[in-house]
Amino acid sequence: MKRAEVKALGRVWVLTGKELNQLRVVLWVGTAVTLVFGLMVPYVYRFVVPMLPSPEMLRGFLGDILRQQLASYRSYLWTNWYGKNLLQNLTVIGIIVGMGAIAGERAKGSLSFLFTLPVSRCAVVAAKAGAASLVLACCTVVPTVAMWAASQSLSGYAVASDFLLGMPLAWAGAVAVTALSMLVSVFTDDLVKAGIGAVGACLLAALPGWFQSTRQFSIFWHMRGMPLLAGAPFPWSSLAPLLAVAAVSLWMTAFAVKRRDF
Amino acid sequence: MKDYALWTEGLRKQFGKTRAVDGIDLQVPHGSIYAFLGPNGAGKTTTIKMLLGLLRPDGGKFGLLDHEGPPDPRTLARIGYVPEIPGLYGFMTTRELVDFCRRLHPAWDHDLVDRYLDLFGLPRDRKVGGFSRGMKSQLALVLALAHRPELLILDEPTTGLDPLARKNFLQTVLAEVAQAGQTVLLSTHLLEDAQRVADTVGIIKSGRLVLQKSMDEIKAGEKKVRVVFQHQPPPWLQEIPGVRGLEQEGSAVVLTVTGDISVVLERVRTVPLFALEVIDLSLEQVFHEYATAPGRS
Repeated sequence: MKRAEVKALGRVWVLTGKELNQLRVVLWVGTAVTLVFGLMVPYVYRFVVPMLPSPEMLRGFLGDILRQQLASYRSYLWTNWYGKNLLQNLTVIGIIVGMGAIAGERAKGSLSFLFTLPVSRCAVVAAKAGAASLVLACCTVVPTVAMWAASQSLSGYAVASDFLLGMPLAWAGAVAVTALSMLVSVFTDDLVKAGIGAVGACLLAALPGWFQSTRQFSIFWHMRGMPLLAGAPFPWSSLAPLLAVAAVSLWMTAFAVKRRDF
Repeated sequence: MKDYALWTEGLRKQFGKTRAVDGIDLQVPHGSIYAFLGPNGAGKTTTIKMLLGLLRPDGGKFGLLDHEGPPDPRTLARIGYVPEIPGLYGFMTTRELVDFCRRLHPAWDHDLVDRYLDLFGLPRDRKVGGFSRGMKSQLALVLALAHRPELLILDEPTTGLDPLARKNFLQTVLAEVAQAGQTVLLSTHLLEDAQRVADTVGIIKSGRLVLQKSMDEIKAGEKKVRVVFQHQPPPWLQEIPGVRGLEQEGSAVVLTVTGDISVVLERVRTVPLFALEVIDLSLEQVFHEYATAPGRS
């Protein structure tokens, strides 16, 4: 690696440190809230589910869902964690982190300070994406591992460690959400508008997942990692599109940041 | 354009139907302190933002130091910038912010930073978010100077400063900068400040550069001639080369003259007079002549 490249990487690292400092509240609150959700999932199964009427007695749509979810403890855990709680929390955290990336700096007036430092705008976008990825990784790994460990500690509710394989998909999906939100945030200096735009972009990304025939085009369907629940090998075909959406969105963000007036 | 630390050629920027900058040609010599003057909304900040790559020009060319076009990171490392409203990171303390900038700048003079922080009396361990506007301006100034930039771009740097801080800035900081041979582009409303420190002046009005001269040229070449004629003033006064304006003040006629005044005096003396007086113009008067008089753009 050339000396100039090492220096450029060093600057991205410095910027990433600044971004992590800026995101520390989101990091702690996001991880703590997701952790609480995570710890609740096994305990709800242990103490609340036995109080529910038997799934066989339930009719209609709700009955179908409950019968699927309660088929085994593993399927309950997977659908409630990767399919619901973690997915929702990571989506919200991803939107919060992404919408503030450029719009937040513009709203606070710090973007002109940042863009007149001796760093390229690509480095700024890379640092923001890197810091967001680290925050999302923490919000994914800590609660998931804690929940898995809590399950191990409940007698009779141990889950095999392959349960943890769902984490990369959830994380990659959250990074894709963040990247989409970052792209939206380039086009406004209003955080509220950036947030609304990001939610709109996520709804569009979720839309194909509502139909059986198009669900493979939805970020959120791939985030759930349902093939893993069914015992299939690791679905690289789910991870790849999630990372591709993230990469393309970040590239477009960097392109827009270079060309826009600030 | 190598003679200039900063230059523009026909630089233009339009926001909707408004021409914010309309083909300006700035020429800031190396080592000069260039006062960039103009009324509110004249296009000063837009021009500066284009120079720094924060806005994309609609036309024209520009260069900073030896780089043509929007500055790349290498050129930005040689430039210091203080915006009108400094957007510093409020979640950092002074020490953290200084450390953050130090790690991004290849050349960083820590002793200079310490000296200026002491000069302005800025606390090192307080969050920047709790600073007043003046304190933020001072800190932005310290950060802009810390890497000893070859070109310093200051957009209304003294607006939020108290009189003592303003004095420190003008007498100590700018004097040191000038002594070190650094070039300064100083955009300001405070004509007194500009007159005190600048050696070159550019006045922008409605997006157009209406005057660009050295301070010496302004002193020598911008005058008023007050004449009291014995009879009616001759009709050809405005046609004398160099006469830019004519006003009636009681019984006297006041001519605003640019350039060689001897031609004007020679012509005026051909008519019977009661009195003739040549008045030197201050920068403030020159500014008013160019920037506020209607129809000069």
